[in-house]
Amino acid sequence: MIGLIVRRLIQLPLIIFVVYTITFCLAWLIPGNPLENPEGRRPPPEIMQAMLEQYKLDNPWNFYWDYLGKASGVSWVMGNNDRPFDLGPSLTHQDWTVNEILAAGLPVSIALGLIAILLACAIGITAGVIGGVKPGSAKDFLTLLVALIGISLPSFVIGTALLVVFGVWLKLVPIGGWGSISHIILPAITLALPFAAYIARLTRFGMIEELGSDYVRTARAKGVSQRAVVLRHALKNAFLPVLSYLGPAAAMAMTGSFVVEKVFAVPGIGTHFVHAVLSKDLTLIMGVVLVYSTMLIMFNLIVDVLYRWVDPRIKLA
Amino acid sequence: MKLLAPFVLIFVVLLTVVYLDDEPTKADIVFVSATEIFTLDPQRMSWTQDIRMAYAIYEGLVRWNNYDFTIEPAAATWTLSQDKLTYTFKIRPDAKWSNGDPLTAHDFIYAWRRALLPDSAADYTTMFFVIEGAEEFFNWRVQKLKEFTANKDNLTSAQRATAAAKLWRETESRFDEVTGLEAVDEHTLRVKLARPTSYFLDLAAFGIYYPVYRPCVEGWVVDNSVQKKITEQGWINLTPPPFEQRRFVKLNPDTARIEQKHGWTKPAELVSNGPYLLTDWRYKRIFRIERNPYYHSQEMIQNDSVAVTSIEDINTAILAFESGRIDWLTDVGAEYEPDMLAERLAFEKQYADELKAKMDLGMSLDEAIAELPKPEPGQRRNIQSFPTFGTDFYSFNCRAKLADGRDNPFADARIRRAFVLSVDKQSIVENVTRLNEPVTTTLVPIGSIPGYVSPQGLPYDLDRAREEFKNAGWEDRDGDGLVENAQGENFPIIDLLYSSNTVRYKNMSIALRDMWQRALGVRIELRGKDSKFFKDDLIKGNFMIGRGRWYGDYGDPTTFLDLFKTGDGNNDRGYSNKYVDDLLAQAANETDPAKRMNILAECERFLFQEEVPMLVICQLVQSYMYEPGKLTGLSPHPRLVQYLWQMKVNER
Repeated sequence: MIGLIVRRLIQLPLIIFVVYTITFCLAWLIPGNPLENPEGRRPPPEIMQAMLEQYKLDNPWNFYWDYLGKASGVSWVMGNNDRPFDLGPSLTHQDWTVNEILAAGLPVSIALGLIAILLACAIGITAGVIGGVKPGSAKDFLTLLVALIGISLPSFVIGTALLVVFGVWLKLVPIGGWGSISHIILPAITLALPFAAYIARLTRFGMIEELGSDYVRTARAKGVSQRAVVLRHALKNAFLPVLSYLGPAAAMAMTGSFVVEKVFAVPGIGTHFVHAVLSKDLTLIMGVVLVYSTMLIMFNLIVDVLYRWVDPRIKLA
Repeated sequence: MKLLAPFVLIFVVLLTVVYLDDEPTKADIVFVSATEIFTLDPQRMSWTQDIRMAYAIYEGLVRWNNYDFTIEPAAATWTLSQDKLTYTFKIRPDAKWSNGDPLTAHDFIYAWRRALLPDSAADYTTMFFVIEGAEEFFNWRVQKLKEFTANKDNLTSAQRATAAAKLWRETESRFDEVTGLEAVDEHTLRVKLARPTSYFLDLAAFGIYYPVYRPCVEGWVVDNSVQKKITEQGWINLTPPPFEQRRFVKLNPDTARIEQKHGWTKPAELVSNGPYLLTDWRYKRIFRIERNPYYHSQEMIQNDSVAVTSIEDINTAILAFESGRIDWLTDVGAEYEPDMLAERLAFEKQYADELKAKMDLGMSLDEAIAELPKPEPGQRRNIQSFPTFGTDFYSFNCRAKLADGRDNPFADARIRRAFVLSVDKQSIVENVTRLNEPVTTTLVPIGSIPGYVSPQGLPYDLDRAREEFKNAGWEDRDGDGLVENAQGENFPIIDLLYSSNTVRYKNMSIALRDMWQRALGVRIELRGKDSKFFKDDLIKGNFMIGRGRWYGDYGDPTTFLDLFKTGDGNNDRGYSNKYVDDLLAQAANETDPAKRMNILAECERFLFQEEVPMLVICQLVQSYMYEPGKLTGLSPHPRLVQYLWQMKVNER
């Protein structure tokens, strides 16, 4: 287990470096100039030039190495920068650094993502067990229907519908903003639904398979109750595919869903990323991608470790 | 159970975190802005939402109240010399910064120097060139910086740092020498202008001319005894700390440039002198300002706090407004905006007589509307559209050659006139944009500038259009519905460029194509491009007809007419005409305001009756959502300068 963690942690900077390089090449190719107000008056060319030079945007090579040095903390170690992991100033939001933007948005996205994933597990596993215990029954059909709706209805439709009903008609929750539990409920549900649907299907198939297996028959033969068979024996094994899905799902939910964040005006990181790309805010793009990829790698690692913990039979490289 | 443990743990922790991170108390006014505030550094502002905040947290020498500069309290009173070249501003002795330090003339000079440094300044630098010596100083610094960069490889890094510091000292003294700015005493600022500028007060009232507090902007690290000295004597009488002890500016030894870092515009740092203080700003989450206890005219401020919620999705913003938690929605860019406006119109129509009667009694439209019964389904009263200080138009490429080297048919004014004459603008605003914007034939929004009478441009006249086209040598000679010249060649296929980001310009361009094809027998190819590519093409002149829009910055026709100056950085049309340049130069030197306005009106008449470098469609409008009578203090003036401290929510 320790070996696995150490190996993964050694791989991490290499993977991040490759991601950084590829993202940089793509981001640099985005047309436009992040320092310009697209509809506004154009500043004199001298000033534009000075600004481009200040942010090292006049030369991709300089920008690439300078940013890499600052972001990785190498510049800090060498004494050229006053802080480690400095992701630079945002190019479009001049009053903010990328670190500040991420510090403001990441906790929001993580909180929302985690709650959504927990919600998805609760809904998905329950529905999956119900369906899996009696495949083909009316209950199974009902969970299938819910799962289908969860998967196929886009978030902005569900989100807007929830907003209209609970925000405008019933006035139960505030619309837009962030800061209290009432703000988190609707976006969490909306974000959770597609994940819940997927988890429900995974659990259902797992349950059907496990309930038909030899050890379940043995348990039944020994007179174990249906409840114990399902919850204690079958579910544990049926949960394994769900667990392996949870790694990428959690990362996906926590790195911010653009649509959910936009519909509910959640100040998370997903919208920042899309806007950064649209306005060619290079420092913000690079910052978000670096943090995203680190998070993704860490989540996969955590899931692998959990996997080993839950099922010691599994060997991982 | 082993499985569930971590989930339960995470869930509990999360709920605690979310719960502890509570919502601030509701502000007196809550409004939603579609776009996040970009910067609170007044010298770097260029967006409406930023400048609106400049008016709230800073205060300039004078303040524009939609008609003149006299009524509202501002930081100073002024006198103008006989030759109209020297303004002397007397700053109120009770004007203070939000840390209690007095506001002095030096604060303005420092702020304006920042704006004039090519090192880090932004979009509006040229607006300071009306000050004597300002342009010279700017160019001098640009030149010196260039020389430094060219020479830097010959120097060791230590020498470079010394040279950069020396250049910076030179720059500071140069600024004091050449520019016409002088602090006669702590509270008297004398401004010499390069030439008589009748709109200088308007500039001084514009956000970018607002003062900043140097120790805050530069992040001086000082101990308490020095801080006391700053308060007592003013920062001007102290030697500024060395650059290592300034947190927010840096002298870059490689470029010799002063680099402004940010961080000083955050609630904990920002020192400002306006009616409000910044008390909370979390990125895309909450922005909150509260009454500034050091502000000199407390009675002017109608509310104690204003919060901006940022909701980027317009549908959500409208829902938030409908749920009643928001007092003002500043932008209604939804596709169903025309339908909402139609509902408002239906409401006004039903009660037209009552409205008129009430308004005859001296009520404002909002007051009158508020007294009417609630709107029925299919009607609404909480949206209103206002004309703005901006104009929508299509530019003709006026260069002799197109970007690909072909002859440009639109270099001929007769052809441009024919194209303008054949557009039915009323039909566009009624059926295409459906916002019923006021159509116009000239660029300067009508009625927006006191003392300026807009001339008439070209009307919608199909016969005259064909006549002009024929005079230019183009008519349908073979009866195929397309025009040919005398050699029998067809009119070149017209390249019409628009930005495809909003459906507005796509629809408008399609409508124009149909009108021109039908009226003139030309073929038109639409080229929709994403805004960045669009802008590149526009700047390079790679178009024949291109979509455009322009918002004025200050209350003078030149804020629009300068677009036609030869070589102007925003002259996308590549238009150049000696008569226009001469008139603009003449206006610049004219000291009599009435004569000056006449010269500018003649310039605009010539441009839009004879030359038509652009097809003006309409004045732009802006819709606000608010409950009439509940929210008061919004200005309906086309400049749409909204002062937050004028607003008040009246409980009904």
